[in-house]
Amino acid sequence: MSLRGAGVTALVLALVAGHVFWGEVAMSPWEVLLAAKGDASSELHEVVLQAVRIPRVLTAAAAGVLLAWLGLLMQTWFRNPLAGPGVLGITSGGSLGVALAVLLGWGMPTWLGASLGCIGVLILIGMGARRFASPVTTLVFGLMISYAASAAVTVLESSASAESLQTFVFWGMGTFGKATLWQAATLLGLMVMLGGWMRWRSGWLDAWLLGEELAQTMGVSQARMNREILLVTGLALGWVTSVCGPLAFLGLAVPHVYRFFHAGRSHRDSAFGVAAWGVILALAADGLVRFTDAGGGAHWPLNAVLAMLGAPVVVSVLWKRTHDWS
Amino acid sequence: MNLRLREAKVGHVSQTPLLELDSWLLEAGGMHMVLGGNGSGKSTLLRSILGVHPFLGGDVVLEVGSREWGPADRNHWVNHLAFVPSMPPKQVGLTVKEVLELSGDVGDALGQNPRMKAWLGLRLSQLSDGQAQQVMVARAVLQSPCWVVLDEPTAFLDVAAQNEMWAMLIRHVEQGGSVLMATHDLRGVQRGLSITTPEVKAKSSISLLRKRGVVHLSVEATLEELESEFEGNALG
Repeated sequence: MSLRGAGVTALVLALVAGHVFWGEVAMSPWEVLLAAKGDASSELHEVVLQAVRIPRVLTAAAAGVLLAWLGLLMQTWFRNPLAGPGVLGITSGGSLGVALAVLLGWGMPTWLGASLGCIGVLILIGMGARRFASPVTTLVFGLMISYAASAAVTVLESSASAESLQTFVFWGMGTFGKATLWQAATLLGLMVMLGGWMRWRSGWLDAWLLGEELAQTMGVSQARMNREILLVTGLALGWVTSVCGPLAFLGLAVPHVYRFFHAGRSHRDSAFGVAAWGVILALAADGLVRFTDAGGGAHWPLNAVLAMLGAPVVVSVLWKRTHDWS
Repeated sequence: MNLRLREAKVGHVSQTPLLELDSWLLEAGGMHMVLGGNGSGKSTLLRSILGVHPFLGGDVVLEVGSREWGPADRNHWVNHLAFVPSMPPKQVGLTVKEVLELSGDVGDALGQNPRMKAWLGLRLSQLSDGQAQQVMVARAVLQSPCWVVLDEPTAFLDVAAQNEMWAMLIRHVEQGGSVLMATHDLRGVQRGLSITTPEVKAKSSISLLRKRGVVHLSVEATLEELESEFEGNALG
């Protein structure tokens, strides 16, 4: 492992440990270990660790990896550095689903509303993609869906009660803290699926970077790749959005951070590093959220922290390489 | 493997095909030059042969003896026809090594063109157009030891880079490969064919696309003859 790789791994481990050992309920490292084993002297310790800290750190890490990979995937698919997981409108579909669930008072949990909204948009995009050969046309289609969904959300917002509006706005700020252990486990399962798919298709994805037509003459089936990308993206992003809220920005930023620090560009070589930076950014941001929560002052929403951390990073990376983002 | 077009109609709209070809045999082991002006259907013809654009009628096959394969047999097709586009891909962060590894063994590619050794660790985006195009040709040769299909490969290259590319193509043909190139670089065609061996030349061809059809010219044609044919047909 290179020095850089070791540093990134150490950073990941340090952040995970920080999230497990540090919290509002003060526990010594020894007490944390006892609580993990189920031998804690205080029941509170076990609940805090097993129902709060562990699901939260797993959710943040898995969502960070998924969003980072989806960002990389979208930037490859569109061969565009500004693409991110949000461009297909799937996140907006999730927002609309939650808006219907919360603002219209359909009595659904937010995660279910978000899932249904994401699936709805995924089906629409899938129908569009069958007609549009080029991903760029699909991108425009996704953008239009995004705008339409946002418009519908605005209409719902304007006539909603103050209380439901507050619930909806809080959902939109995103959080890793509402996930249950089984939701965290399903995110980890999706992570395995997406990682496996990207490794399996790494040759196709690399070839795709050389151009649509050339890739096809190298054996890439464009129709199949489009279908598979839509499916894995829709499932992974839909579920992340359902569990954590609309966090797509993370996915746009992480591949740029990775490219800044690391040389490998083939999908096989970069998958691990991109995943690691996804975890780092997600846990660093969530650490700040938890820190401000514990401080009792102003609450900093996750989406705000992610953008505050991510935007300057992306700008500073692009600043240095205005002519070439590769 | 010979490449044979059978009653192929090439274009985008079936009422107005760009090209209506009779049977056209491209003999294995030769360098086949397809000349034509802008809009003559050169690129569409190549894309149809490569199997990424549908024929409006007729078809294309690879044939050895009585056996034949069509583009629908994707694996076979991809292993026997590789493509080099006009402009090398831009803003690609993959290294030269990574690009070559997509299609085969890097050592084989260096055997073809040892100069690439110095670039192996560089990103494709860091190379000049001429260097990048050499990498793209080397990659295509790794993908297909048989046909290498090039669309205006010299359009963005200076003379030195063009010579490098021709040297690679001639080496490919001398090792048993075949070349199909669309171009309007008459001087390049004439010069390229003039440095091939008589055996290769005997299997090579020059064809000029004109309105909806094709004229076959002699591979011994001088530059003046090519120019007058090109101008006469481009106008007619």
